Amino acid sequence: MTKLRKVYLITAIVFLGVLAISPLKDYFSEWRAVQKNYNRYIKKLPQKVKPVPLVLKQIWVPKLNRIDRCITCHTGIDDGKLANAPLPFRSHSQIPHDFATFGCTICHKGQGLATNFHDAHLPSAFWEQPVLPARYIESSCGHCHINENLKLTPSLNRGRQEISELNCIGCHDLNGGYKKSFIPSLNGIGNKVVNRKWLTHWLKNPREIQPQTKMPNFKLSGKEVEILSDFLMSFRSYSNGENLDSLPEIYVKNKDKDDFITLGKTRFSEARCISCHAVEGKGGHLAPDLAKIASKATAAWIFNNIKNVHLLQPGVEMPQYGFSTKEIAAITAYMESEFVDRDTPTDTIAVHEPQANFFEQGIVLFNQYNCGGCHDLSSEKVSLNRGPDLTSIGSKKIYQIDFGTTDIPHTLYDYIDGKIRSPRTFGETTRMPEYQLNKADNQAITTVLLSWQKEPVPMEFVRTVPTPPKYDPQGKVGQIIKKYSCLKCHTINKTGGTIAPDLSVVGSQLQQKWVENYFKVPYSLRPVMEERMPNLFIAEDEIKTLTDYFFKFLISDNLSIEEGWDNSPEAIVRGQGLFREKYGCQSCHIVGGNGGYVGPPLDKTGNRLQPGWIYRWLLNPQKYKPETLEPRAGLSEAEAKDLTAYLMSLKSEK
Amino acid sequence: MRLIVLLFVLSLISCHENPHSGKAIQKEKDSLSAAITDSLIRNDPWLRYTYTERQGKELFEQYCVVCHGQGGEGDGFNAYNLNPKPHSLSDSTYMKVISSGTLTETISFGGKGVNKSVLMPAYQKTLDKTQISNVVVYIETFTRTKSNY
Repeated sequence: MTKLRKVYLITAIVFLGVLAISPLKDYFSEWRAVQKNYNRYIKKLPQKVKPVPLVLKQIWVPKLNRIDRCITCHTGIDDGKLANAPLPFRSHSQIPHDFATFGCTICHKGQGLATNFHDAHLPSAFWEQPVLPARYIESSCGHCHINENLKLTPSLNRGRQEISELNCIGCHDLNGGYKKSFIPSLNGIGNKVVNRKWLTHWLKNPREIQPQTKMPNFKLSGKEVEILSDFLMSFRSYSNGENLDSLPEIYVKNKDKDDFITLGKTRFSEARCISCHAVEGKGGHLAPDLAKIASKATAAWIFNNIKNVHLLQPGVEMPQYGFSTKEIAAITAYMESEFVDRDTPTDTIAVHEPQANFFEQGIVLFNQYNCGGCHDLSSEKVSLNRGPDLTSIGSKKIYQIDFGTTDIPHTLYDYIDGKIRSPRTFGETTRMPEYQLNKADNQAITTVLLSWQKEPVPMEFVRTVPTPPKYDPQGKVGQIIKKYSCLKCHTINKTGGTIAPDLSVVGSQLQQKWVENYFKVPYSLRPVMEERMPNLFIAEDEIKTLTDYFFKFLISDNLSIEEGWDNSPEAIVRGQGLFREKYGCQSCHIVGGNGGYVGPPLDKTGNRLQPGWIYRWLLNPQKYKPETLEPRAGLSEAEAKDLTAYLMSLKSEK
Repeated sequence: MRLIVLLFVLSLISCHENPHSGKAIQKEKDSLSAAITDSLIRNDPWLRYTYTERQGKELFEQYCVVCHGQGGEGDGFNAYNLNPKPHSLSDSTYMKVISSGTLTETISFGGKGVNKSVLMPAYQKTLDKTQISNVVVYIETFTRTKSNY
């Protein structure tokens, strides 16, 4: 009997012990220790912070299917007093979303239900998505703000721009409505390139010749380079079957004469070619460096390109200058004499025997590396051979990824980042070229790619910006605007570039006479800007057509002073006082020889601007140009009128 | 009965199968975790600044660097046109006596608002209160000796 009791007693104790495991485990859990730690920490603070009860807390967001227990340990998340507290107690920085509606893991990733550090933050056998590092956090903004570039997401915006500029759409399917950007056609390249050696050199490593180029390094073998060069050099005619116009007699006769070359040099600098093109690294970066162009392209090609750039390179952004044939020939002569690669050994221009079967082998290589994804080439045998679809790359599973010989951590973001940085380390079959981007650009592109998920967020969360209807002027005005590529730099009605001022209401801002003169002799209004308005040598009648159009159609009825304004000497003196003493405008603008260089000089404003525009602008500059540096001074209407009177009084003597 | 015992033994074995490789996996997992934790918390250059400071940095670089310079040293390209020139914001003895409140006031109401040069404009109507406070927070990082992290 006693034996049975003993057994009973022992069993009971063991049983109680087993039952106690669970509450004990709960009592000694990690999160409880963190909360106790927190309550101890806040006692030491000078400000009063409420202690937290020792319970598990969670945010439930049914619409997004999230249950996030992060706030159990991240206790001070919505308490501004804890902005400098150590992690995990620190308050969340101010963001436009509130935690109750969105939860945590929709942006930060990680495992929301987990209640210990390891499971919540790091990947495990059952959970492969770790918490997103801060450098990629903007990718989560992109889940909902699909094509919206927000002020708070600089990295995401930068990545989107890079993806568009690098023409990723040439090989990959992408989200976000990317369009193919301009890339030179390869038709006629056999007539363009002076020396086959240049092409082999280029194909080996384009960045070595042109550090700014968007063309990546395909890491071709020596043999592949030779075959591709032979293949490409065999394309000698242009897409429409035409050949280059031969050089005019005036060029052949005068090309070595000093005064002819000087004329070319003068036109080259007057037209401000270096606003877009660099010469040995000095100048703009919108177009290729011209320093060694004469060793790359033939004189005939250069001549034809300046003469009719849109015919030779359809879709190119370069304007069609209004030079005469003589001037074009002179510029060609100048470039031929100056922009030469002095290191090219002259004796290499020997006759080259193409390899056997170069065409068959060349087209195979051309298609294998999907050169046709970016470059046009008129050949029936060109076929597209695109890379993987990237539209849901942000949801790619770790087991689907081949990490190759790399030793990077097995996470999706490290994979994408590594793949963009050095694609060829991920297995031997990969064809992706190397882009040699800097760290920030690499990170920005990774951020964008991470934002493209398989399962979309519910429609009510999605934010897209409608694309505005494209401004496409017709008729003679349309032809002129296209000919001079105005919309490369200027915007009209939400279409065009952001390099130069928006011209949508230019007819209500400027004076017609000033615009007409400006076309003839453009000068730099904004010294800070790198790009300058080029002298396009526009014909007189074209200027007339354009300015008539500007001042009839590109106008606004809301840029006037309805009740009139007073331009009496007293008002002008009052305005000058406001300008100098009250608002200190001279810190950014030059008047009468002194002042700053941030904004345009304001001498001769009375010849340039319309009073209604000055008045409206002064009242609220950000309304017309949100990114302007000019602060909204908060002028009263009377003050704005006095300042307008003063600025309109600044005229040239004549 | 024998069958049950056999099954029990088998299941025990399967639970403890090959403890050697289990350890190796655990070790690999630990090193992976360490690498990820490292990239999450320590090695992230982004974490030099908090989110608020980054917002402030963005604004400072848009509006202020033309005069105050990239590092706040008063050496922006436009500074030499100004008289008086902007004072260095990274001078810790100077900044010690300037409270966050004074900085906020200077940005909001301009130099004139705090009896200083009229050449510093007022941003009260251009930036909202949060933006101004973000800029102040960023300016204060110029004289911060040690990062929080």
